[in-house]
Amino acid sequence: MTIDHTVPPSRAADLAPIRIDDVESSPDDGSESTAAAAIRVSGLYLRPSAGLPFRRDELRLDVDGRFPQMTVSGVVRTSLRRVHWIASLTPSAAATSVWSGPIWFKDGDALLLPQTSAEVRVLGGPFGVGRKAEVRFTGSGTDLVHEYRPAGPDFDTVEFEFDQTADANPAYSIDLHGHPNRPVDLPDETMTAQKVYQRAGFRVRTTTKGPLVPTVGAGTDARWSDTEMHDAMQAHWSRFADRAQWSLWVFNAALHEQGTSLGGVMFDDIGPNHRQGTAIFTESFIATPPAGDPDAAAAVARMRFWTMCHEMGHAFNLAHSWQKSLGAPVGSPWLPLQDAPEERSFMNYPFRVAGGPTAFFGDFEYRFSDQELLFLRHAPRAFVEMGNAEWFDHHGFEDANVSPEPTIGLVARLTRSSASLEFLEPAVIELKATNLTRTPMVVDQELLGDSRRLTIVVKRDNGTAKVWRPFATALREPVGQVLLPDESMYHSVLVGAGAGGWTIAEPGWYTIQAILRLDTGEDVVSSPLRLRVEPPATFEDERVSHDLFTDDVARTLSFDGSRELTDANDVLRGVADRLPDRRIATHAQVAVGSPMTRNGKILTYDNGQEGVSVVPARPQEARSLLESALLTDQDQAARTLGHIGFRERTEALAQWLVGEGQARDAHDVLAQLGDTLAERGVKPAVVAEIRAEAGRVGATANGGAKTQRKGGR
Amino acid sequence: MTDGVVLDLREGFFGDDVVVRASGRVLRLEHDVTTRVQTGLARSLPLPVETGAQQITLEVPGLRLLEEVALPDRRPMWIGMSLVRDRQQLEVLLREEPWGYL
Repeated sequence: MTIDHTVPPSRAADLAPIRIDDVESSPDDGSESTAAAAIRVSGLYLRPSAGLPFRRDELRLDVDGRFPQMTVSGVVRTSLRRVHWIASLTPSAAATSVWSGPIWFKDGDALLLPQTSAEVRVLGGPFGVGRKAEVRFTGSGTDLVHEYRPAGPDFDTVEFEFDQTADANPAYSIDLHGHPNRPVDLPDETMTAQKVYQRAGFRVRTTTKGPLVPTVGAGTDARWSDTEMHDAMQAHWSRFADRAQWSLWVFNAALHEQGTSLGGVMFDDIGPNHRQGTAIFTESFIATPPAGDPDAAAAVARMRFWTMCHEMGHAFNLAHSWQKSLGAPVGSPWLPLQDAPEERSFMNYPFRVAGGPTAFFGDFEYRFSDQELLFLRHAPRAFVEMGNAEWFDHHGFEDANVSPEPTIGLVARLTRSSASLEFLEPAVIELKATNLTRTPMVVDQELLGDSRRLTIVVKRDNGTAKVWRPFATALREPVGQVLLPDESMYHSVLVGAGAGGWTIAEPGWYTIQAILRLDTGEDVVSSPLRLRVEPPATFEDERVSHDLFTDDVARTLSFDGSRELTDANDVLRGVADRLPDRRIATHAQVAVGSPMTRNGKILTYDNGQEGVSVVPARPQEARSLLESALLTDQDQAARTLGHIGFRERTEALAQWLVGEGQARDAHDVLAQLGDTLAERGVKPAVVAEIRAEAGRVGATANGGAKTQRKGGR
Repeated sequence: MTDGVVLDLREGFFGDDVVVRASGRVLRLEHDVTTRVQTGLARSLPLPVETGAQQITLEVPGLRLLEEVALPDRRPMWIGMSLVRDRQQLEVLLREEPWGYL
């Protein structure tokens, strides 16, 4: 079926909406000969998964057809486990339709497929008649043979929906010979975005679109912000859903609010499902042909088309050619990748290469690089599928190096009987690392607080996994601490919020898992911790959440206060006033009150002059807030702050009271702290330590010797 | 379109502070600068510099990186600043037309 991509004039008064029929694009883009198609074996194959009558193990064979990568990949499943594997292939010298090679990538439960090599044998006649693929896995244990049946010549099916505004001038297709600057052997054909991705290995469907997107959605400046595009995506994309799906919205508009410097963007990098929407700004700098170009109109059309395919590539989680190696803290490549700044790919900027656009397009075949095709066709599908892995994540994956006899046991836990958090309550967990050996070991006393060694992953059910990152990373000299056999060390983490946003906020179930990398290279992995965030109790809860779940509030809570982030402080004060009995109020009062206990410095910048200003302490207000948070309902405070956090902050309050000349009150605070933690089953040694300190402070109040503070932060 | 000087904070930024000075005066103090990797741009900042040639100092204090830039007297001018080589080096480029981002 012919698809009409004609773009009507953008300034006509009576624009006819573009209509793209709901078609099933042929997997064969028409460029392959019948003979070649008859013998092509590459594509998707399936077999029933063991013990799962409705699931299939997948095999993606990639040895012929367009841009073959000489690779085979697959997924093996059982009822509880899965592993994604990839092997390189070399043709057999002894037989046709036989390839073999090493398995070089596994993601998931590697024990499900311990073998290290794969041999693929394709049997059957032309056009798939009677065809099957037999894969023999060898090396490391018993050989395993799996038989697969062909499911189609493509590796996956993806859906595109194109929308535009009346003032945009998209180029949905171009004539590859339309511009004189091109490779001499470039075929004379019409290229569409659908063809580009068909040749990358996808079966492409183009869904029916509706009328033009009204430009009123861009506001009075007629320029689109990311928020406005998100709103438009939800309103106009017929496939919009809060879930991962092989479906993508492509939006052509005139200009972004950034102005003419932004030619296009994969704007969908917020919320739980990334990479579902892309935008091209046809009247940006891409509408300006290079100076002296021999065919300005063709150059502009080419650049608009190229930009569209480029932005769509980001939706597939492809990075720019010069960013491929970017790792933490920015992203995590799925393999050790090399930057390719001179690459002739849709993912490179034509104006970044040596010689600029002339050199680029003189050598560009309207394709992706081999490295990119490997990712598109063979990476774990969650890394590629829109709405699945977050943008720039697993553009990676690294198998944990877990020992069968770990030396340290790691536990992530809540210090409460119920794994349930109130809506708005910041999630605090405790980490416990225990010496599992029979001999004492020396570890860094800040082992659990070292973000270079510790990784915490948070995943909401039906959402994507997020790596929790702290707001601050310390570089310090390690201090050794002896852990006796069965002895443990502990650390408290505000896992609900960190750099990169709130990881635990929306109602639902979450899974938290921690991984600790030891100096020996051993990885210690905690068992998954499950917790649930309750739904909002009132409409007020929902209203508050919009102001609470911001980056500034997360920072303020994380650092127990800020003198600079005044808006965040206002939000937390408001929360504490409006919801005084709720657990969030405890956190808010601590964050607002703690900085008030002493004078503090802030940097100022006024008329080009840097300076330092002192914010005076507000002791009365501080005491009121902190006593309300930590003493009014100590059981709630301990539950929501965690035992470690509760103890640290209460001891800090006591120490401050001593400094204010209120030693008697400080003694009462510590005595109450000891009683509360004892009732909550905290280790007797810890309780004894607190009571001893209470005694020392009490003696000070009675005119005894000065105390020596123990514990605390 | 500007007729002055614009500083583009481009690749490699991740929660960094950036300080821009001229003649000992702070022109810009930016917090939490993070590159949007799908475009390769963090922020685009007009700089209140005077006309004429002068020295501009670009600093990322958290990484102890500092670069002196000789700004010519031609206007408009665009300065592109990136953190490269695993964020261990500042790269500064000058050009008389804006960069494009995709």
